[in-house]
Amino acid sequence: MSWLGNLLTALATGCIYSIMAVGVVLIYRTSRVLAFHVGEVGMLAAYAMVTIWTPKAGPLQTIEAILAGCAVALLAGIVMYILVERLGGRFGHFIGTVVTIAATIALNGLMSLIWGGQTYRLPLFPGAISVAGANLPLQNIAVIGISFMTLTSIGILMRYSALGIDMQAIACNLPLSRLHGIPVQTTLCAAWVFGSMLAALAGVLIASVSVVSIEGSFIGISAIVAALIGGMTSIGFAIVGAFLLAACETLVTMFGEPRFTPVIPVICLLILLIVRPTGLAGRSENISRV
Amino acid sequence: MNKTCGIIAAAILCASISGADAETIKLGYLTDTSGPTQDISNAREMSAAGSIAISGLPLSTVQAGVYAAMERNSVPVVAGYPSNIGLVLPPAKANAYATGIVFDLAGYIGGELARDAAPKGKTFVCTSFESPGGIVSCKGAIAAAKAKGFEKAESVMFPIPTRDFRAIAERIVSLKPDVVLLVLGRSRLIAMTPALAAAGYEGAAISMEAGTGDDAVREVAKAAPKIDMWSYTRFVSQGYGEGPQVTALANAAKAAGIKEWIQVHSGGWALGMLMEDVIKRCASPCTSEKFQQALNNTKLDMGGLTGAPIQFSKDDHYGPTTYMLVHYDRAKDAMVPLKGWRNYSSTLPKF
Repeated sequence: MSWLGNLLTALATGCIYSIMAVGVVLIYRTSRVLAFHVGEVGMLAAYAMVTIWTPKAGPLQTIEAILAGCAVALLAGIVMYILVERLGGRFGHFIGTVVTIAATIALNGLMSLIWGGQTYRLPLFPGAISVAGANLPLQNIAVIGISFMTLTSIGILMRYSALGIDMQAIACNLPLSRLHGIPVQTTLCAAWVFGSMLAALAGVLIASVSVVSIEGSFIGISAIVAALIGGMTSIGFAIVGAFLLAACETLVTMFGEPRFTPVIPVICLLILLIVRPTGLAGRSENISRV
Repeated sequence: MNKTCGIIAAAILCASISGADAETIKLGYLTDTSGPTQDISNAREMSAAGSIAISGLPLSTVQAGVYAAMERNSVPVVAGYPSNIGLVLPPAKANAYATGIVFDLAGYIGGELARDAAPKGKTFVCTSFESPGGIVSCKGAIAAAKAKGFEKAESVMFPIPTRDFRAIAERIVSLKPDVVLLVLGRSRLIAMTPALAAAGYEGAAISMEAGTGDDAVREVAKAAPKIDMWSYTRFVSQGYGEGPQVTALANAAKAAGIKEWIQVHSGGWALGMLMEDVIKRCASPCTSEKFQQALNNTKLDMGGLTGAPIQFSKDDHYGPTTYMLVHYDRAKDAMVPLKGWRNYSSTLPKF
């Protein structure tokens, strides 16, 4: 049994969950809406990419495929912002969450309509290296590298950029942010687009280590659970939640019964509710204040 | 069953209906987009509208319910390729017939054929998702592998929604298998095999042909250059097999613009042939009872699509079957049959 291989698999899975969970937290913190559709946006972007990309693709075709994935994410983010914030905003956050659930159904239908439920491979990082007798797939190493860069960039963006600080201000106090002249609607739209972009990146990465398929959008549930474990209010703790979940899933697959992996998120959530109901971050949210 | 297969099967069925005495035959498609409840409802609706028989039902998950519902109405149901439940094996239920692969039997056969793929192998692993078909397949495969001399035979089952197989593949590789039986279907095979390769597996892998398609086996074989790829099948695919019906199917596929016809096409064609034959033998006015009588006296040569005729009797609604082990030849980029058709009885060995 390759300990290094398993560790790498768990880390790569945790990285992918983290990226999507951060998107969920970004949307929740700014709009107070639980984004159930992130998994579907991820797979939609992966489908868009695999339509253009082939294993023999040159740099130009690869760039085109990446742009196609980005375009899908951008469009999904803007459409969801319009639906949730501009049209559904006056009905409250609960309706916004319902809209995201409706979006999952619509996006699943769209993928089925366009790609007929087909499964495609997206081997962006083929090959493996051998370290100390262990076979280490390059895909896992690439996923960890890309995720590290992405999550670091998000951290820097949130802490030092004007947009990030505006997002934090809106997350803390929306009316006060408005009074201070923060462009609330633009910032909210940016948060939805960022959330979608992160979902798309996670979708493409999970597709690159598995396949592009409609069922792949199930990853969205893992990301939401990771965000919930983190308490929905902290990007850092969402990442911790993601790695915790990935580690539990990998351990159960390796040493227990792989059949039980779907109940791992549920067990994690149950334990959390008993031990620390406010999530790992420990900050209780008062939704009604916004 | 994909659309093309349905079209080909339906085309034959329509042609035969127009030339036969059958008066009320309604063509219905109970596909995997609808669940068992909807399929039972569809079947009841068809029965109430006067349909004398129901054929199709390529998904094993919906068959038990439809068989049971139609038994009450005495309407025969003929399930097609790819996957069928063991209910059709002797002793058969009154109205339940099938022409596809029965997982109980196909799993056992897979375990036996593993010896051909790894003549000196000691460890056998069967992997599948947690469906009734997957579970019974691996149970049978393990029994057969042990009977064929494998010292260690284990199964690795995983949840149905799984699409990321890296950890599962690591688990399989940790068992150090010489041969892995993949009871996965098309989409999971495409995901699992490269994951096995990435985890460092370099042994033999046999894919149970259950609507998977030779094209998918070839695709994953290219993505896993160190895995010795095999498949075993009840119906022929483009590239091997010969006979009048193989030629007829090839011509129809060409006319329909299909680049490569695979087992779902030949399975659909076979079901169409069977329906044509039974309808022609069903005395006018053809009723469910007469249709079933005709079914119970079936011995239809498949013209090269299978290795043996489709044969139904009053006590056996599946009949003797044949399977062919095919090997992926990297030099030719083709699936090459090994030893031709092998005969199997519809009666399962006890294990």
